[in-house]
Amino acid sequence: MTNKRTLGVGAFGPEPAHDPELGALLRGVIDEAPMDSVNWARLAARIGERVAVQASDTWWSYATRWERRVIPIAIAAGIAAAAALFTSTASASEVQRTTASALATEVAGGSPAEDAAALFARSITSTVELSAGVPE
Amino acid sequence: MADERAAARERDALLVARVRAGDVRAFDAIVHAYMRQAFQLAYRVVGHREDAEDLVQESFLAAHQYLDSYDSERPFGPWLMRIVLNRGSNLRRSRTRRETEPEVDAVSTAPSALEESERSETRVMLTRALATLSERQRMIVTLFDVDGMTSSEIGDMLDLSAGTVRWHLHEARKILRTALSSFFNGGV
Repeated sequence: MTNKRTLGVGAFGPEPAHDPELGALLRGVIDEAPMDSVNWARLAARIGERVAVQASDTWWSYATRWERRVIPIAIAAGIAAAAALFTSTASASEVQRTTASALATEVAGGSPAEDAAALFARSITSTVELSAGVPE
Repeated sequence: MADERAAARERDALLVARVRAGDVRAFDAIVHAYMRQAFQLAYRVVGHREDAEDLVQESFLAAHQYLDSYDSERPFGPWLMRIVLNRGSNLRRSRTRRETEPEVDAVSTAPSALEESERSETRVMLTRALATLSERQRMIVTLFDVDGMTSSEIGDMLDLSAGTVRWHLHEARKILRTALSSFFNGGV
């Protein structure tokens, strides 16, 4: 019993009785909750209204809330994507050079004529798509 | 008492299940069941009627919003009261107390000058002693000796064991009784 604080006096005993004397003194200092001055019906209605609004929040209401932020972000992302595409697209002459070089490598390497022709055809098709749009 | 608790727990579990299924009206029943208790606690935390009403409202909204995180195996009341306590502590830290008319003292007798002097002296001593308690001790002694709650009820609310509550209560009472020794020994 040398250190009552660490041994936790009061913790292991039975439920202590309420102290009316101390309670009365505390009530003199601490306000009692003014239960009678609350309009309970109005408070409950207020909470109910807010909860109903919260419950009716659907996914499109979140989208509406984010609209103002999402549109500028989408525009900025579009501009960045266009810029990236513009700078990364190889020019037609580069593509043709690469195609001719690849074809020469295939032929020199002894590939069958059909494979070389197929490679050439694929190269031409992709060149047309990349540099001149979709062929009609 | 135990039967009442079990019945309340069963009722709450059903109501929570209905709310989770999308029945907003079921939440009204939860509000009606707990708003008084929530207000009493909120008032203990913020010390002002209007602030306490706002706190109760915000706590119920938070409870509704985070209902999916509530463990239905545990009682609903203490979970809600913990929301009130946490939000109330944040509110008290962030907001200065509203400067409106003070709460009206319900009992209005006319004490003599001597009685008034003694009473105010005791109040000063008690206020000072309360200020030396930790927030947790102050809350526990108030809920126990002013509001008449039990240690297990307080423990559920504060997420403490009943034994820990009783220990804090013992410590708080010891400090208060020491500070008010002259009163308790018949001096003041």
